[in-house]
Amino acid sequence: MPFGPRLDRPSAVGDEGRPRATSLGVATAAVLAVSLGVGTALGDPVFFTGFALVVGLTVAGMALLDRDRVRETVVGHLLFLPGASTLVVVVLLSGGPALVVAGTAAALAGVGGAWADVGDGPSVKRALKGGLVSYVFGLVWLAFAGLALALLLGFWNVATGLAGGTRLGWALAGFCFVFGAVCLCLRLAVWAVPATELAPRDREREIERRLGRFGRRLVLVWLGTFVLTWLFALLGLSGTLRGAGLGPAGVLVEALTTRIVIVPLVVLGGVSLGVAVLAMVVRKTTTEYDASTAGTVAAALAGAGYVVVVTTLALSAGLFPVVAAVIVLLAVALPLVVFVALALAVVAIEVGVVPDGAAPLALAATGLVTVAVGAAGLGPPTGTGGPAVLVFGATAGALVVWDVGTFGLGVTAELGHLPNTRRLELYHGVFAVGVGVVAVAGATAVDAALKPVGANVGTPAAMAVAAIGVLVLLVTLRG
Amino acid sequence: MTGRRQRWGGGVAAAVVLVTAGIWNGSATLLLAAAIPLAYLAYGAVSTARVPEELSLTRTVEPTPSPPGRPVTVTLTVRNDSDRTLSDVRIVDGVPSDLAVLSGSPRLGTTLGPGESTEMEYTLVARRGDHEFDPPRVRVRGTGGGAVATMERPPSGADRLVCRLDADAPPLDDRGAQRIGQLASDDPGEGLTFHSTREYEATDPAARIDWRHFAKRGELATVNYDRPVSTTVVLVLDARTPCHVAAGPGRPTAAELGAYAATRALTALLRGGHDVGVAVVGREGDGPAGLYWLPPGGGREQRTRATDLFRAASVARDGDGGVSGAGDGPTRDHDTGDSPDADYGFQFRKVAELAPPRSQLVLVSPALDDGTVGALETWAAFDRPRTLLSPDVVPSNTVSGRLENVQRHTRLARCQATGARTIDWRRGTPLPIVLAEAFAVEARAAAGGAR
Repeated sequence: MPFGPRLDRPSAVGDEGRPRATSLGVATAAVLAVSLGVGTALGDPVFFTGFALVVGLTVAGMALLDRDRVRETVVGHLLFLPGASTLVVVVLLSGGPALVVAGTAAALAGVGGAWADVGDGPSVKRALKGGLVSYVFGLVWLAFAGLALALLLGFWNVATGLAGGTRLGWALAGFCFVFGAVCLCLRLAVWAVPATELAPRDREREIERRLGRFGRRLVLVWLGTFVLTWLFALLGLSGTLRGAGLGPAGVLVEALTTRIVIVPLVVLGGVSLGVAVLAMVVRKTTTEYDASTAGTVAAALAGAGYVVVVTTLALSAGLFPVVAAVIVLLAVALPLVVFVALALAVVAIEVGVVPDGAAPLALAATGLVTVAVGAAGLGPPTGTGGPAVLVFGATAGALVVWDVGTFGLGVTAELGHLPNTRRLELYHGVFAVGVGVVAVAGATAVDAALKPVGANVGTPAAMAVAAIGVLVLLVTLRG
Repeated sequence: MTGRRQRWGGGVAAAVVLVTAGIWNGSATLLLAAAIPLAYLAYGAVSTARVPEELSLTRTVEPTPSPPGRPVTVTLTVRNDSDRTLSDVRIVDGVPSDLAVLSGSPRLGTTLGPGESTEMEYTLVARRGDHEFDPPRVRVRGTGGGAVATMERPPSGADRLVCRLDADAPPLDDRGAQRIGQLASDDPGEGLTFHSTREYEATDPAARIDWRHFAKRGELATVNYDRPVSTTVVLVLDARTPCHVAAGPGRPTAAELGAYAATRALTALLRGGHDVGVAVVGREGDGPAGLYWLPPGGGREQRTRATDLFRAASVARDGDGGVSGAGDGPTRDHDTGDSPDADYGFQFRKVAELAPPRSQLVLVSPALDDGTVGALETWAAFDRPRTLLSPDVVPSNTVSGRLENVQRHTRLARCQATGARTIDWRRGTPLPIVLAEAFAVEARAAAGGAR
């Protein structure tokens, strides 16, 4: 493949897949030509490249969401939702006419989706569902991260505060509390880590016996520290040990409750807890994992990725709290816009407004028609029209995309993807483009001829007559 | 049959949107733009379609007749002898439903100018029988793609694929010094292939003196050659129910491939001057123990009778029908009416009892169950040279197929452990090479017995 690995599957070029490459190539050329025309009309011929990359990443993400493997699906999540959200921002901030910019972006997304074989009903539903799940996971991870951070800070403050206290009873209680918590973490790690399973077969029993003994001792120590914690706390409250802090025992207690002792203990407990959690996650995912859970796992990982990205962005703007807050707010709100758009697309496909198999082509053609409508408002005052050639070109482009796209779909549906039909498609594509060129030339000539009498043409009566004429012709030609 | 396809729904929608937007904005440009979809509709509406009489089709099938499992190339040539360009011609050839396309596509879509021709080529896997092609379906569209004409156009040339078990087996000669046999043995003697040299004896013919040796050492030596031997071979075709499976839909069954291998081996052995007997296991025949049994013999008559037996054995018993579905493992052909677990061990034992002393036993079986291993273990007790020729019909691109492959190779190893020569006939390996390997090696082991 000249453009790198393909996003669609080889089997996608078939009855239920995308149109054939030659037809899609012609459609892509039409979209790019109109995009260049839009850029030229706006004074920047490569205007569309500003958001074409984001469109491409979004489409790639949508295609990767169809994969079975977790790694690819995670990448798909990380590309799709952030890409689509960014696209919304880019379109809004592009500075061009909204209809024209949105239409160009839609056309690019449609043709990209056609190449990647996404944009049909199942893939849009999959993107909506996957995006929602990963979004919810992101929020949950965000909440968990905040909670864990708060707990960690609280524990640290309590531990160091108690250990560093000057009152002997409280200091001893704090030390026992920390020591007991570390014992519990170690006990959890001993239970969770599959040390027995990983041991050599001839030493399994011995290690199992030792670990069992070690675990029981840890529980006993924790029970002892639990009792002692309460005991010392009560003694501290009662003031019994107040004076003892001055004796040799006090020196020992002070030594035990210094940060040099407490910090390694806390680190040991934290590492033990982390190892235990990791072992449990690994055990869970390796023993109870099947294909149906791959999507959920990928969404969960992607949700964590969102949190990391958004946190990084927000921290990078840490000096400007308002900017950080706006980033977080946009990260939370923009996906909702994307979900609404996807939901509308799903409804349109389900109702039948948009043909399921040709949905990406319909999106591209709709985008170009939108460009035509938007371009009519550019330039001179309304009534005499905008850049007429762009309007006609975008309309013809939309028709070319629809014609060659549906033709390519029909070819694959009838002949499958094996026969070489390039000549057949090129022949049809040349005629489709030729009809468009002739139509654009004719419309431009008529538009130029009408301009001198524009005031009369623009009257409501004349326009109504023209509209009725178009509709009558439509009905007649369509049969 | 002609008709029109409505494919301009998008164009109509675009026109309506542009008209609406034009009225809404008061834009004459948009109203004018709404005429562009009309141009496309008109373009589609005025085009017509017809399949011209001058569109000719020619089909070739090569090779035919062919043996089972052999790739057969089908070429369909399309020629436009009319005076107008056919902008959209689509053709689907009528591939026989019992056959599977191995490579290529029986479909074609192209544009044909006046006097132009094109061709499509695809490969089928031959299965035993006469397979008739349906006429190709031709569809012509107008330039706009709206008008469609469809018809079946019978082609000239081949209209069927003939697949016979003895398709590539050479005919037997009526004469020739072939009774000496063509299996090479380890024992030295007269022949063509160099074996060794020994000290010259006065009775040795002068043609066997090694003159090079004499020139070097001044002593006369005699050249020994691999001595061809004649022997008796009993070909045993495994036609039990587990053998009526194929690697996939449209592929030959293991029984068909086995029958083909047995037919080819039969011809080669008879041409070599050996006596060949035939037994078919797994069928209720009229021979001893329900076997189809043909005592060892030679000549054309023997080959004809043996080929008839193989042909009957390769067909499932409940009549016509094809392999259905694309199973993960070997796909079962028709229901032969037997239980897969039916015990035919007594038939295998009977074969060994019926076979003449010192004859070779050649079992042709896909080894898809333990019955094959049991047969060779039984024959081991009779101390006969044994060969297993096993056609491979197990697909290796599925999980269950791989499992079946492992089991089959385990069975082949077990067969080898019984002392039998085991030949795995992998798909794609030419059968003559496999047979040469099987009999060349086995002959050495059997030479003593054949002498």
